[in-house]
Amino acid sequence: MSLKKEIQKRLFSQFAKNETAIHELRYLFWECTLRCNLNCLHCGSDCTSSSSVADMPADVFLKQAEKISKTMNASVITVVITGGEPLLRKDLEQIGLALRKMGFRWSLVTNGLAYTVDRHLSLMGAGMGALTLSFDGLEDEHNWLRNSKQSFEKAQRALEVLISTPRLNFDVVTCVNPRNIDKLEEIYTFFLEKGLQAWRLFTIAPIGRAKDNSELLLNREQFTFLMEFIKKKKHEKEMYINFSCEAYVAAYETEVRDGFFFCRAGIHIGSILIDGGVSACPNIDRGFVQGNIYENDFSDIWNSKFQVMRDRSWTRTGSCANCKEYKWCKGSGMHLWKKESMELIQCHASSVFT
Amino acid sequence: MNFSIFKRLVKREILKRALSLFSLSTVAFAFQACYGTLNDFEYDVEITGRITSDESGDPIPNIQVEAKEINNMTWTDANGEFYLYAPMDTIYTLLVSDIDSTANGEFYSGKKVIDNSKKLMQLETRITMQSIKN
Ligand code: SF4
Ligand code: SF4
Repeated sequence: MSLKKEIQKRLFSQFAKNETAIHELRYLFWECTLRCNLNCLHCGSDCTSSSSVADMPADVFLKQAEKISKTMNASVITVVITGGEPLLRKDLEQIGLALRKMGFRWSLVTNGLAYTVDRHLSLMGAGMGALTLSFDGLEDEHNWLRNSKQSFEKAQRALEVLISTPRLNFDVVTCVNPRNIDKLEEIYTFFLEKGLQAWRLFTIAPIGRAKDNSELLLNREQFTFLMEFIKKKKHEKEMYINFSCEAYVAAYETEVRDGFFFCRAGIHIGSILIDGGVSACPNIDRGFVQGNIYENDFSDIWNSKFQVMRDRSWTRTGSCANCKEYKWCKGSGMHLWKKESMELIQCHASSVFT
Repeated sequence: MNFSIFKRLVKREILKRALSLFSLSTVAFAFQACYGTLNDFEYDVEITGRITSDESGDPIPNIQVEAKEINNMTWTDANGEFYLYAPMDTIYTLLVSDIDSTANGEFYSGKKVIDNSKKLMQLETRITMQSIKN
């Protein structure tokens, strides 16, 4: 490792430690619905088109947001609206405007199926500042993973609309799996020709529906191939390409992402889940929920709980116990831990250890 | 603010400067979770407006307000008011159209050019629409 990288790594580690102690909220997920217009094979949540769980009423969420804006610095917080498929809600624009008035920024995660030009214009008018579109390959692979024959065409239409809006901090996210890994070069060319500027790739963790489907998970060789692919494309600098935050990747740190791994769950990232549960990233085991807004305010829970995410020393167990990378990895992503057994589900770095 | 947090915030500033020497200051705060979006730190302008009838002076609800060249659209509320976020460009042309036929009266489409060359973060406008007389 070069001296520069070694210094960067140590400085970043100090920064992460200090940020953990400050734990200032900067990213608030809102799981606004569990309804979805797709039935993806890899979904992290168990949503259905006619979810029996009701959407969270806008006023319930906005009341919490207002309290947060009075006790925290809303101008540094992005509210990330997720689901389910958030576009199935018709009140996103009113909610977005209300959030902007309180000082927040807001954004949306969508599968693009219901993303029309008119909806795009009204979401932009309501102050939406960022959006992530899920796009899992070319037609066959995308439709297979999304379990729908029309999802590629609709995602492509959404992509074209989104690319035409420079104001939007927009990126595409792709779940890399054994079916699309050999097509990454073609997918890259497709995106490049469309004019996409930011592409993020992630792997599918064995959680949600994916845990029962081994067809979705990469083996060691495929994972290394993915790391090499991202590294190469990053060097080419034609597009802003990154591996997602999902895990520590040892020697590939800073080669596949701009910064070093830092799982910010409960440190910068919080969430209000569909049932009022308060946690961090929605893909984290629900056993780690820290409270509920129907009993306490989000701000109080954020300030008084979350020790399990801010002090990760408990992760020094199992394969992490004697791992030489622990100092930098700290047990990898919080979403990779099972609450019941307090066990790590997957270590990405071990796939690339030499 | 208690003293230990104050110390941490001072340390944050020092670390930020040190990180910037090693090209890491932006990534320190611009992050995204796997299932989340990029952060949004762009500046934009909040345009608020009111649309009234030229004939009665009354506010007109449900008028579509579109700034096509910058990809934004909204509708007036019951008070004839609208709120629109737009990028920090200098000139916007707002196209206003009556989309609900005879409900709330009938009006000709119109447009209004808004100049934000001073790059203000808030702008207020008033638009009068010409009613279609039978
Ligand atoms: S074993 Fe644990 S600490 Fe070591 S790299 Fe894997 S997840 Fe990280
Ligand atoms: S829990 Fe997972 S998705 Fe969330 S910040 Fe940590 S690594 Fe990223």
